[in-house]
Amino acid sequence: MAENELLQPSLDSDKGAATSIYSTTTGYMAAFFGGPLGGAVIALLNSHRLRRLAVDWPLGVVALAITTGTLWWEVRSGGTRWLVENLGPSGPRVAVRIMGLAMFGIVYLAHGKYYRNMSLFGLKPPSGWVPGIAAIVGGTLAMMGIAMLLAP
Amino acid sequence: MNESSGSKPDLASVLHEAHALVERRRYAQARSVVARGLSHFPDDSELQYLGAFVDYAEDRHAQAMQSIRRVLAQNPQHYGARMLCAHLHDEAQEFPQAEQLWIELLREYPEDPDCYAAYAELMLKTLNLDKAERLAREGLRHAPEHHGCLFVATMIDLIRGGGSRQRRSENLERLLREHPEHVRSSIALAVALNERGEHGNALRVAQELVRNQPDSEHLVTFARELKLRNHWSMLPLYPMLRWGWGGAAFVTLGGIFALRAARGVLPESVVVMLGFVWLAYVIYSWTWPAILRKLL
Repeated sequence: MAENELLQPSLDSDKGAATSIYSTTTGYMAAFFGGPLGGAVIALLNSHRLRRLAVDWPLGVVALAITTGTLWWEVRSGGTRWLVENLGPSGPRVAVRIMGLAMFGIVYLAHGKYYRNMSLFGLKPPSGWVPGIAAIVGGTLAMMGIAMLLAP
Repeated sequence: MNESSGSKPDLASVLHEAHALVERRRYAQARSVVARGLSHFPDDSELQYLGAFVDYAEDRHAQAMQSIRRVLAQNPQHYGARMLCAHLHDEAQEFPQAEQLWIELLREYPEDPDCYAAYAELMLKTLNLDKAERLAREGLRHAPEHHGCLFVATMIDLIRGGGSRQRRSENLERLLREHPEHVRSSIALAVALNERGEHGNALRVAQELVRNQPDSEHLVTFARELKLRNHWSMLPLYPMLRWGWGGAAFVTLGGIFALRAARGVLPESVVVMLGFVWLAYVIYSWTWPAILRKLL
């Protein structure tokens, strides 16, 4: 056979269960409430499960760049004032939601085919409660930390 | 088997009869023929294999595995027994063991499209999409109209979604044209219709499939999901159903911005009321599908 690499095993011999990833709901919620960093945590956990961290690690960099860039604009360039003036007192919170959803969109571009694969073959995702909550808390704390570091 | 009950039957004719019954899916009769054969030829590996196959076909997987281990202990190179063993590992979600067997079989039978199709499907079940695609392509190279390989190729086209529409429908059309009688062709058709947003047509195909295979849990779940999408109470959730998470994000952000914009134009009381309506809609979109899924 020409394609000998097709005959190399792809599954870990110590893994008995189906490979599945955390659901889109978990990813969406983590990104919506935990911002881009929360969304990236779930995305990278999924990449680890798919054994493609070597390909997907830039997702973490993108999340960090979106978060730092937006917070820089808010804290150092008067972005917070602009958001409050134009979107009301909850403007900065809305900005976090928008960033989170943008991050989710990017993650979906990378992992959409795996979600569709799971859906078509009826594969059940693992419970996303613990990692989802951890991602939301971690993402929020990280954002607060970055904002404090950027504060003049 | 036409011999009298006392005399020893001819092994070849017993095997022939059992094979014929298995091919016609008359498993109860096949079981009885195999049992009678084994009473005369208890060590015959082909009879033991046929017994295991009947057990597998009738969902007695533990018994099938026991029998197949006996066959493989006697005849480790038995092609059918190794294939059946791989399928049994697959059913038991022992995927690495199944993979090992498919690889061994493909090393010995590098042109066998059945092995390519089965291994490709295993790769799809374990989210190894690229490898599944290459295996299906390799299988189709050896047998361009092979049903299993065409099925996997069609499913991959549907999963990828982003490929050209022509290529996507090409594999599906070939599958339906060459194998219209196969249940899996109908499954692929229903999935394709669903992906194109033709939920009503997809539901009709899926319901027909469930009528033919009422025991298939996967088909029942699929038909139930389609029924849910077609339910009248899901109409307000059309953006989410049609455009998935993109639709959900649009509705969420659209609602936030529309309410902000309304603040400067409409009286505060109206804006507050609209805010509650939007909130109710969001809650409805998150909770109602789950409730309806339980009700249907």
